[in-house]
Amino acid sequence: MCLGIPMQVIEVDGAFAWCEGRGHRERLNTFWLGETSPGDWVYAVLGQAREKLTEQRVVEINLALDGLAAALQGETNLDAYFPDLTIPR
Amino acid sequence: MTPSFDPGHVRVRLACATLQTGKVQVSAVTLSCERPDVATILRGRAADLAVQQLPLLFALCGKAQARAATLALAAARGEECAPQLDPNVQREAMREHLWRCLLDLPPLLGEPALQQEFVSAAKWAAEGNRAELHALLNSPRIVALHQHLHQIKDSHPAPTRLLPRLDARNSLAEWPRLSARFCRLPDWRDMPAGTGAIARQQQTARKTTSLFSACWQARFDELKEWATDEARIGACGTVSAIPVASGIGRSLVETARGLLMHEIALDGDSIAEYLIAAPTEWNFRPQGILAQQLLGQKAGDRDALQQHVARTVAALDPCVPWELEWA
Repeated sequence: MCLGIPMQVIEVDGAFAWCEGRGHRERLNTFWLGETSPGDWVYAVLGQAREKLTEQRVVEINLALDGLAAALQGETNLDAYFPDLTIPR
Repeated sequence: MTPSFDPGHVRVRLACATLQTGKVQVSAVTLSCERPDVATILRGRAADLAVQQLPLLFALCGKAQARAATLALAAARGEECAPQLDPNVQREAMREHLWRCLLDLPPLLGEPALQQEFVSAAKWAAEGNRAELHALLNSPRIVALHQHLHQIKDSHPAPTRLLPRLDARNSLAEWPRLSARFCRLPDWRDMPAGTGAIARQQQTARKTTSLFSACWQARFDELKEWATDEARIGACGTVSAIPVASGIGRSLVETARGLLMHEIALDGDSIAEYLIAAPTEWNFRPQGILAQQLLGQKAGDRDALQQHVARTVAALDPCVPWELEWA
């Protein structure tokens, strides 16, 4: 379902950046995102940095991914993973 | 640290025979599309909150998913939505088409990605600046891409079994209810069918000699339609919804990758069942459009065949990673 993973820019390398998130480390093309700096968060999909993310959005997406992972492991009480959202896209 | 997460994948498994000429030919194709069932986390949740949360899990088509979810919920509560173009879904789809046509396609043709052009074009699409995008689509570099596409010839013709134009109301005659099995293995009149720009453009598509060319040409045609404000209902970005039965609603959204359907069954204000039939399952299902294109395909050797598979998969554009295995 076109799941993306929030990743944090660790090191900028020209039009690319080394990014880390959810246990992955990956060199992503960030050319189309404009200027990126270490500490920025990007949305990585299919090996590409698709857009920048705010820290709040990162928390929400990671919680949702955690919730999905928990559900797939058989956990039934998912309330903690889905607090009320404050920034609908 | 948050745990790693498997977004799923398409697995293409090929068996090959070596011909007397020394060429190889695909003798069997096994396809599987495995990914997490996102609907799992929605069952039992408050419906209004669930449709807000769903787009968090969709990176490429968040606006389309959000619209599909909202419309399906409204339909489950009795509200129909006649087919109409949704500008936000259209713009999201145009960005996806631009990404594919300007960044992904040129390297497949041995040319550099048009990165600067993509940055400008994505901005114009987001702003609704159709005139600038139209000018770009008619620029010499894009015209050269078209010419390159027309020169490509594959041994397989472009496919003919493609989904027809559907909206929520007429989808009921095709599929009275969706099911988990249908979402994994969608079919139209008991057979697989292709979806995406190539299906939406099938009435107007120019004659092409390959699936590869047909897919990319259809994307360019949709970009041009949007840039000239000629997109009409049924085009990419069309949304519709209809009550299926009491407490059950369905929505249809034409996304960049193809037909997306949501069906929600309510239990009071909670989600009793949530079903999502997404485009990747149509095009990458067993015996589907990809499998049909690969079966019987000849190539000089395995490397050449692998390149052909990669190009064909790229043309059909799965929204999850894919991998090739040899039987």
